[in-house]
Amino acid sequence: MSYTLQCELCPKYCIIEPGQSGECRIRVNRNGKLTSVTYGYPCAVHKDPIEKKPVFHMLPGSWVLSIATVGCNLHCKNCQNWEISQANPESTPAYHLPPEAIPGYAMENGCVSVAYTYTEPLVYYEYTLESSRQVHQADLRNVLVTAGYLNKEPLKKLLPYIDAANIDLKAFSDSFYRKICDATLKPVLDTLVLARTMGVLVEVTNLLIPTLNDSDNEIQELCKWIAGNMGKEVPLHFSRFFPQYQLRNLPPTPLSTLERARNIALDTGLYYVYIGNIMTDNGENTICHQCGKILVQRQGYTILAMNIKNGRCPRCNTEVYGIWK
Amino acid sequence: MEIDRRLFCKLLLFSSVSLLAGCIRPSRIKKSIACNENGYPGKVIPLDRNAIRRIGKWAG
Repeated sequence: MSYTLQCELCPKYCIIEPGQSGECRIRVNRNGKLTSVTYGYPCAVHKDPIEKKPVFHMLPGSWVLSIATVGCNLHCKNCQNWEISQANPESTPAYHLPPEAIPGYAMENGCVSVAYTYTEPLVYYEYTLESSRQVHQADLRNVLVTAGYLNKEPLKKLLPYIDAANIDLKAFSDSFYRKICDATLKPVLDTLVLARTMGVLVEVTNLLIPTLNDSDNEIQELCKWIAGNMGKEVPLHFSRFFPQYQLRNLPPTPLSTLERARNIALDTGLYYVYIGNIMTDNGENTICHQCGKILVQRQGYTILAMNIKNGRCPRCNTEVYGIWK
Repeated sequence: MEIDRRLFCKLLLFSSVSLLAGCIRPSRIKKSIACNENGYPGKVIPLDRNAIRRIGKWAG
């Protein structure tokens, strides 16, 4: 019998008729069985510097095997990877890379960790979960790059295998999430707190889009929430927007906006605040919040200096949040 | 006004069936998280050492 199914993975709770998929395009009702059709079939497999995720507080300068299948449960108008995130599996060529082959493939290519990234790894949940189990068994690390729009129960099962996560906090307003991303804010905030409390190294990215989420007030509220609910040590990346996909009418984010946001975040008390998607002299450096020493000096994806010793500042011995060996 | 009994019965039967179908339908919705079944619906291309691209073109 062909049942209509309701997917319980994410807060969208899609009701899926036989032969159809959920909003994510990859969870398909095949004869009454909900099937993740991209399991083992990534459309992108790359070797990236970990700084590209961006993850700045885990093994700086290391390589990470980055994989993605098509599909996303959000539909952001500014998506930078819309050609794969908003694509159908039918029209996207993919490799066959089953979870058990991932650790070997990562090691062959000199990678010390595996990232589930580019699209939304939480919609190809089963593949991410099994791959991350296999990766841990091989003593490699797992990195999740996500919008964080998932229900708590599946998330609780996955997070014990995740070492580091960069989670997008796309704005600090529910109306932005509804209008621009076709989602809501609350589940994302819940994911951020849950990941932090379950011991994942969490970094947050906030892409600043001119006129949509770049007001002083919104940035301040966002920073206060991070400081109060996650901790001041959680790194925050302000990322530069470029006109993409369905938001080509807006200009790229000016450097002055990114610097303003960074100043607000530092004034709020956050320790590690970065500026990304743009070349600056010191926007990507990790600086000791106690004594001001440059702990990690970065230029693009290159590490110019790594001064952290045993997870601490060599000048004042302050502990630096992160995984350093 | 005279009522056509046969038509009336047909209408009654039709509306009962529709009502019943409407009631049954929600119970046919199963709640689920996906199972893993291979069978990628798109083209599958070989993955060898040359396939991996150093520094991917995608953001993230």
